Amino acid sequence: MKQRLFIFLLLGILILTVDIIFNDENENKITIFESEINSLIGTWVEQVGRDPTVQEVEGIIKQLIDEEILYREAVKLGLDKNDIIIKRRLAQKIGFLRQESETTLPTNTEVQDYFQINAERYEVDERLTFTHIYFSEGDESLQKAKMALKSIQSGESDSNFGEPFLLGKNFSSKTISEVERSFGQSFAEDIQSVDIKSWSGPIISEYGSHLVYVNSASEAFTPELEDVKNLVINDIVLERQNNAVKEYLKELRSAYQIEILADLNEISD
Amino acid sequence: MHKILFLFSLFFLFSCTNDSLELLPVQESILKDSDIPKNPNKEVFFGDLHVHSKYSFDAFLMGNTAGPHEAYRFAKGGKLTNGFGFDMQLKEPLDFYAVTDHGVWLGIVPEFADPNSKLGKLPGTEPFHNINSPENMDLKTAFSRVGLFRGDYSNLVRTRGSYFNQLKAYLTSNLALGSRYFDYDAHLSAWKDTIKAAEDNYEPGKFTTFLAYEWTVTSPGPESASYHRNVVFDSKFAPKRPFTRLDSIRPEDLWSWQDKLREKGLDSIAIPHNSNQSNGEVFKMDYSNGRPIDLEYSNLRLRNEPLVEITQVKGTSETHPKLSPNDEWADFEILNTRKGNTSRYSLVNGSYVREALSNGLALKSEGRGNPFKIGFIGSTDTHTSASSIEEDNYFGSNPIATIPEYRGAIENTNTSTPEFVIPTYANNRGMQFGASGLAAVWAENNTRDAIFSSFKRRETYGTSGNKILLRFFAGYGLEQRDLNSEDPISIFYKKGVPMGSDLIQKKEAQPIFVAWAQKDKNGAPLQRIQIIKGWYDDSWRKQTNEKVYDITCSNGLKVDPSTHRCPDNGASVNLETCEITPNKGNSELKVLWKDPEFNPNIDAFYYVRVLENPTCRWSTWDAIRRGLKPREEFPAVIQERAWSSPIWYLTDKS
Repeated sequence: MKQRLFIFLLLGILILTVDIIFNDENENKITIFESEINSLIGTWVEQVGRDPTVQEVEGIIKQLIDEEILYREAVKLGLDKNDIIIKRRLAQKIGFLRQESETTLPTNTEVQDYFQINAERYEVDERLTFTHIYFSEGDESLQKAKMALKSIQSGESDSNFGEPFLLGKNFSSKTISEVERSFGQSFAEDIQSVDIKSWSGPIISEYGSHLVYVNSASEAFTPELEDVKNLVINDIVLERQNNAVKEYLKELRSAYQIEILADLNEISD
Repeated sequence: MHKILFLFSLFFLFSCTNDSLELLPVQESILKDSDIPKNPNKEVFFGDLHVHSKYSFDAFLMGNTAGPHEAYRFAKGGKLTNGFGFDMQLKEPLDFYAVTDHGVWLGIVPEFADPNSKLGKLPGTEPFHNINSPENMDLKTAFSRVGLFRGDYSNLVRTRGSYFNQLKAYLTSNLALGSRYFDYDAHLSAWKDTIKAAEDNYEPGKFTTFLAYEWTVTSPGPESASYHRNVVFDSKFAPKRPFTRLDSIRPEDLWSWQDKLREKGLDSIAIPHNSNQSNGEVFKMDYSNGRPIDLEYSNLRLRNEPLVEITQVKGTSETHPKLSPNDEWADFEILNTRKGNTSRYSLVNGSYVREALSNGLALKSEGRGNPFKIGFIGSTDTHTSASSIEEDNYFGSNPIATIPEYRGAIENTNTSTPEFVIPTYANNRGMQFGASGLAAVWAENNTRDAIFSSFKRRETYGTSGNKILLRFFAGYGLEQRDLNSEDPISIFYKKGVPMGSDLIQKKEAQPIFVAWAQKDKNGAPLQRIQIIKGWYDDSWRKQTNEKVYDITCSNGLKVDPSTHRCPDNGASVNLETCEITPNKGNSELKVLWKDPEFNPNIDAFYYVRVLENPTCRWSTWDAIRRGLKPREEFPAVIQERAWSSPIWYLTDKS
């Protein structure tokens, strides 16, 4: 810690010195930051292979000042125009800025419009709530299931629950793809066509035969805007951020007249 | 004025000491974890906690151009086309996913490749320029890519920056800043993008993401070996930057960093992987400085490291035939060279999970705590942003390996690639890689809260890439009629403990174990369920022991009580078509089991291994798709499997 404190002090003194030397209050003021000096010294070290002496650091700083003066004069003369590297860098920078600046919340009308246009995206999946009686695979699986169905339908036995199923007996509010993940594709297809609130089957899965009782099947529907408002707002903000640069460009493009002086057909050949 | 400036700069420098401990807020998602209904019997979710995107230096060099956003879209079932034109897609989406890029130099190599970036303009980065542009995406570039990785990249990262930058690095405890070829802004922006991808793709109740990264470390010196960890955050906040090997190469320091973040409100777990390639480093019995493990070490490690990655693309770390000579299934997807030093073998002792579990009991009996009380997961370590877990849909673990010739199962006949010695098989250990694995958790719902707490209580299991369903409980007084009852699971939770837990000794009572497995609905039938038991004999023998029991067999076959083995169920594979014998194996196996050699006075661990019938290995699929025979010197079939987290039986003296 002592060592660090010493280094802080040294560094502080250096900054102070630089500040005293170059802190000029007139209009053509040039301010040199520590980071600029650091990076230049870094380059110097790489080229020369050792740390610079005090005179050399002074030289480096002088060079930096010269560069700054020349840069400003160059800008005054408009030399930064038509330079491809400068162009790209600046275009990149403004892109980032636009992206980050896009945080204002959308108005109610905007939310409504967006919701209407993208209604499909907010559609709530069909969900099934069901219970099943399972008969593990084997020669008599299907037969047992049929017998059980018969006895349930004739009101004989409510207590016949077949065999336990690893993922359980009751499935609450599952999407079709979730049902498919637990029982396999054919089961997921078959269960969609059974009558509500009655025992049906047997339906065959990868694991055996099942009697199913679908308690409720909510159809896919588009929710009320109020229920998903936050989600919509979030989506709008995200999309805006992603599109910020594009929209900004579109906006600006109208202010520009674009003239392409080339035969495009010839070029694409 | 000048004095103020001076004081300000002093303050500034002091305040930036070690920003890896600063926390960033994360976006609030619209749906809260608490909004999602909970299933008290728990549901199973499958995921991958080890995925590299383009921000990992090696993944990018091997041609990966997909970032974390694309990675999550793939996990949700989307199609991802890589730069070599190969389409990667899973048959079924995963339930959770964590992108774990190498923390060290995260996001930097893509900068080297961009000639217009700050780093890309530095001399020395020219060989990297545009390496992942479309014109450079073919097999011909494979060798130069390996060259960049081994040569140019290593040289650049070792180049020191200016004296001032080194000073800054020292002062802020952020050594990366001292390197000439490091751009902190680019690094932070890649890390922020990683955070954002995890936030944007998290859908509570449907798909869970975790903010994560890999602490990638190789020990110095001629015996260099790796002991990498993935760090998975509960994602309530994000650290400003990852803690990397430049911060420390000692795992104890990583765990202390996690401790400090936890005090600030950000919980995390570290998951070691590829212990098989660690040359005994991951499970060694000492501190990293050589001091023997003590109670303090054990507690520090336990707090931070509840899980281990038991299998992945670069081999399985359960056990090794040398350590388990009486386990006929120990020789499974073994990759026994060192990571990052592939010409040398990895020491067997200290590199495998089962031995570590036993050693943990030994350490505990000596009063040093059990630092190896770990649950299991599998994951892939893919470097394509996309998990490759299906044998018949295997596309390798790095983008070049999506070109089948690069994987080693079929000969390269492409004469336009002069770098290849033609004709021959790619000699890159690709054949020893596997289409493995997956992490499975039992959790109340598919949310960060629920899944992360499952990780912490080890209610997890690992698979070799398939989706076997597996329940495992232990308790006293569990009965056959419980297993046949209408709702066995709630009884087992009430009367017993699930995988990953402790079962404390009860006077005059013997533990009963329940194992219940269902086959992967798209996979082969199950062949048998086994229990692996390990214990430490602290009498004069002072040795660790293990035993493998078959506990139930398929097709109604019975376990031989003297050998504890099932008879052969006769299942086989047709190596010309990959068809499997019909009507062999079961879609479900379940059993109640008592340890026939139970000693109430000795601590022991028990874990379950479920084996499928044999199926074609990915390399066999590669061969037959080209009308070739599988290579004879490698296994043509594989027995996919699942490993439950252990249950520890603990005597009440402990």
